[in-house]
This record gives sequence, C-alpha cells and structure tokens, in this order.
Amino acid sequence: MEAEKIITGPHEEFSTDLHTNLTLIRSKLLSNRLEFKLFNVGKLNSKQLAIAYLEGRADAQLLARIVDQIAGLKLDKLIGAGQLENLIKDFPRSLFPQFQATASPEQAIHNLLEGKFLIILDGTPVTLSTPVNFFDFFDKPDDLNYNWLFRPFIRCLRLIALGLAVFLPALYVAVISFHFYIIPVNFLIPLAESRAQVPFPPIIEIFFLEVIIELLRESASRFASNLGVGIHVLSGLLLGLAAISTGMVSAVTVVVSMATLIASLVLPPYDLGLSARSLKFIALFFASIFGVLGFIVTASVTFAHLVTLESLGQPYFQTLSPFKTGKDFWKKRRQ
Amino acid sequence: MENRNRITAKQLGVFILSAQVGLGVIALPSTLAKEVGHDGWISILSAGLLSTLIIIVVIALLRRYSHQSILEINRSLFGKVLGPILNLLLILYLSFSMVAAFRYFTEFIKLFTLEATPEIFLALLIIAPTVYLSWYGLKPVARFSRIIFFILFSFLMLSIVVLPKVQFTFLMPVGAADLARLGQSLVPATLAFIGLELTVFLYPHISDQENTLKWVIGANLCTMAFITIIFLVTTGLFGENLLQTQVAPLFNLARYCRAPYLDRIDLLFILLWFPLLESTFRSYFFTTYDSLRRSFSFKKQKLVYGLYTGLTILLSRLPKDFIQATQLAKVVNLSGIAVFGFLILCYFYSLIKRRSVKSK
Repeated sequence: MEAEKIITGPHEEFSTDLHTNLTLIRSKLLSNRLEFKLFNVGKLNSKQLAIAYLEGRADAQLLARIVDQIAGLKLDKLIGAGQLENLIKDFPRSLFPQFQATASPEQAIHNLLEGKFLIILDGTPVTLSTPVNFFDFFDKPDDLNYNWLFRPFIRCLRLIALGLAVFLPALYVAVISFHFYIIPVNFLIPLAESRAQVPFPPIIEIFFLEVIIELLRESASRFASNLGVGIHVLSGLLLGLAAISTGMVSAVTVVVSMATLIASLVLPPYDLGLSARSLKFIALFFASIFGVLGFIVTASVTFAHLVTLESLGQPYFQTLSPFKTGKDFWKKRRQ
Repeated sequence: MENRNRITAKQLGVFILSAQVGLGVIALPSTLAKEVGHDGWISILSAGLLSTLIIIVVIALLRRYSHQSILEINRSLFGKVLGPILNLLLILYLSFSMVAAFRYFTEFIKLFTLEATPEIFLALLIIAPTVYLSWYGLKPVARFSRIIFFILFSFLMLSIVVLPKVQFTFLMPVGAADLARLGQSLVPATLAFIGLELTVFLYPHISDQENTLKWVIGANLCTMAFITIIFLVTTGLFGENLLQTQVAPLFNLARYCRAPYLDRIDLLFILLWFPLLESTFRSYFFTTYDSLRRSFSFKKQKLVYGLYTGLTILLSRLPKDFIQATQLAKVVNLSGIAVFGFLILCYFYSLIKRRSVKSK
C-alpha cells in the first residue's frame, strides 16, 4: 500500500521490519511516556506484533481491552494488518473502517499524540490506529500547517467529496427516472435531447459507466505504474468518447460519473474509500427502484449505522453525535 | 458491549423533541385554522404551557420512586391484579400510537413522493432505519435524533426567507376567537405535544435522573416555540381561509421560494423532513418494544423482534386510506390526553398510598 501523500510534511513510509518501525517511532516521538507492548500471534506461523501508546494520554481501560482482544486471538497464521482488523473490530460486518490504516509515520505519530493506540505488525508496512472516529479519516497531520481559514475549508471539502462519491449517481438516477419535474423546463429540454439517442434507462447507463471506472481503478492498482497512467488515461478517454458517439450513454451521465470519480479520489484509497465505493452501488440500486425515497432511506440507514458503530467501545460518530466540542474532546483524552 | 440503553437526560430531551415535532406539526396549522382561525397560536402556547405543567407533575411522580418506570410504579400503586391490567392498557396505547404514526407516515410518503408504488413496499422500505436502530438500543436511537437540530434550523431558515411575503394583517385582530372555541382547540393543539409521556416509560434508562425535568421541559418549550413560529408564518402567508384547505401547510411554505435551478423546492424539504417523521415513529416503536421486553422478559429476542416488526407492518395496513389514517391520529390525540390524565391521577394517588415510595 502506498502511503497517503503528505504535502507539507516528510515523505516517509514504514518498512516491513517491526523493530525498524519501532525505532523510527521512538526516534520521531522523543517522549519517555512512549510505551510498547509486544505479542506473538499465530500458532503455525507466529508473527510479532506491537502495541504503541503514550502513557497518561491513552486510556488504560481501552489498553486492557485491546490487549485482551489480541491475546484472545486463536489462529494459525496472520497475513496482514487488514486480517487483524477484521478479527478484532467491534462490528465485523460493517462496511466502515473501525481502525485507521496508515503507512505514514507522520500520521501514526499524530494518532499517538491524540491518545490512540498503534498496532504494528511484523512483515507489513501498514499500521493500525484505534480508537478512531468517522471524522479522523478526513484529518491529515499536515492540515495543521495550513492557516485557520483553509483548514476547516479543506475538511469540509473532503466531507462533501464523500457525499458526492456515495450519493451523486443515486441522486441523478432518482431525479432523471422519477422526479424530473424538479428540473426547470429550460434545463430539462437539453437534458431530454441529450438522452434521446440513448436506448438504455439511466440506471443501466450509469451502472455501465461505474463498472468500467471500477475496472479501470482496479487495473490501475495492479498494472506497472510507469505504463499504467498513460494507458488508463487513453482508455478512459477513448471509451468515454466512443460511448457518447455511439449513443450508449449520454454526455450528462458521463459528467456525473466523472464527478463521482474525482470526488472519490479525494478520499483515502483504502478503508473509507472502499466503503464509499460499496455504498455508492447500494444507494444506486435503491434509488433506481424507489427514486428519491430510496436515496433518502439509504442515507438514513447509513447515518443510523454510523451513530451505532463503535471503535474500541468509543462512539464512531463522536464530535457530532454524541456532540463533543474540541475542548471536551481533549479533556477526555487527557483523563 | 456497554449498556446500549443508557442515555443522559439531555439525550432524552432530544428524543422527546423528535417524538413530538415529526408528525404533529405537518397538518396542525390547518387543523387549528379550522378550529380558531388565525388565533391558533394562542391554542399552541396554551397547550404547550399546560403540557409543561403536566410534565412537572409527572416527573414529581417518577422522583417518588427510585429508578422505576410507570410499569413498575403501577404494580406498586395498584397491586398485582390491577397494576398489570393498567400496564397492558398503557402498552396498548403505545402500540396503537406507533401503528397510527407508521400508517400516517407511509400515507404521507406515498402522497408526496411515490403515488404509484404499492404501500406495502414503501412500508418495508421506510421501516428499515427504525428496525436497525431500535435493535441496537436507546442510545443509538437518541444519537440519531440529534439530526433534528439541523432539520429545524433549515425550516426556520425557510421561514425567514418567506418572511417578507408574510402579511401580518392576516394575524389580526388578536383574540377574535371566543374563549369557548379557544378552549376546545386545546384538544387538537395537544397532539403536537404528545410524545412527552414517553418519559415515564424510559425513566429507568436515564443516567442523570436529577436533570430529567430540566431537559424534558426544555424539549417541550422548543416544540412549542417551533410550532408557534410555523403557525404564525403559514397563517401570515396563506391566510386562515386558504390554510384550512391545505393538507401539509408546512411544506407549502417551500413553494413560495424560487430557486434558479430547481422547480420544486418543496420536494427537497419533504425529503429533509423524512428523518423527523421516522424519528416520531421510531420513538414509539422503540418504547413499545422496550416496554414489552421489560414486562414479559422474552428469551428469543431476535424472533420476537422479527415478529414485532412484522406485526407492526401488518397492523398498519388495517386503515383503508389516508382519511382513515388521519382519523386514527385524532384517536391518538384523545388517548394521549387520557394518558396524561392517568399520570396525574397516579401522582395524587401516590400521595395517598405511600407504599414503595423512595425513602429520603
């Protein structure tokens, strides 16, 4: 996994060796309160695992809980951090990440300073942070380098990107298929004209484009990176142009799909990004059957799930529900 | 996992607010316009203040018994025979209110969004968030209810946007309706404050019970303020005669706004109101299930919960149409007033019969 890009901070990554990673953390976080707990996990292929935390800042009860969870693991081998996350998370069937996976030491140190625990596994450059809340995924360590106005702006932009990445295709299908009367006539006529040549209903159109985009994205992650960019840009352009000129999809549908793609690229590539991509198809399915009602019910169930979720027993949607001001949040962390 | 039903008094306040506002306010302005014309705001304020006095008495009753809900209090007050019978009646009231709220909710969604879709499919779809949240307990239900502030804020903003078009002469002269009519209009006005009685069922789940009174009164006053504002704005905008003919004046407010790229802003506000409609139904859905669970201690929770959900959907199909669903709302209104009366009687009876009263 490639580390998420940090613009105004160091461009480092963890390595696959546990002790090198522990030394890296120790050298970056010069505090005598930094503690490590080491474990061996896996019966046949035993792997070493460390929990790092800041004494006095991390909650002792949560430490006991996570130690119990890891000590209670009974498995033959542990492949990677993702497998570990699936084994110890509070809601194993949830689409949303309950640990923050990162290969960036800057992000990991940032999380430790916030009172979180860091799980570092031997043989993988990806570390896991817990407990996390939903809004942590929109927070980057180098955000603090920006000025007071730009910082909230960029965070809002990331939240809007999530909304667009999940719900824009669903909303488009709902409006075009069921509630076209909300579009003013002077916009509706050109829209109808652009769709006049298309033989498919909007759901088939957008589903076709979204699947193509997912295929491109998947192939981008497998293909050699030096050739990949060129080939993908070319194939994307050719496919888009050919699809419009042959009348398979309308130009407006291509615009919606591209806007969704751009919004999804703002999100972290894994954890939350994967959740958004899965949710997009669920929302699309319900919106294609029930129109805006399907869209609003999907949004309601998603919100209901977010307020129900917990990460290491801590509310996942904290800061909004339950509402915590920055001052309260830090006070709790210090306690 | 910690107790998923434990909430704070503040969360209870938000829960009560969402139970009250969702359904009651949609048609209330037109109902009151029919009863007392443009003086409906006086009825709302009177019903709000009266319900505040009632809740003060009800909380005083709850404080006399340590960590007990009305279901346990009834057993202490009325004995092992009459107590369970009264509890059953209270649970029936909750179930009836829940089913009526669900049917009204389904009819409303059908009327404004998907007229051609069979209601049973709509019912299956719109019950989903409620079934999911209520299964996980009161805590997530209360957390979800916080969305109400964003929705109420949006509607208050809408009221401000249409304010220049409001004609204050439509609200004059103040006090045109006579006292008898104003007194009669207290009954429909009370519908907006029904939801307050849920406090007596959920009281044992509150972690800081000493703050309950403060937050529940706060919720009730917020409801009163919001509904009064909506009544004043709708009456000032439409006038009492036009208001009387409307099914949902709350959403017709949005039709007075013009946006350059949207033709039907009211659809946006209907969608925005959806979580609140759901919250009102959810409050009763959860409280009924919780009361049943505590009264009968089920062993197979999942099976019973599934049956309970299925039964809710089936029972909500009993009314034939929207008119019958609206009539059900009137019955809920009257039975809610009866429950308020019963709770006040319980308080006075507890003063006479002091058995099981918390020792100071």
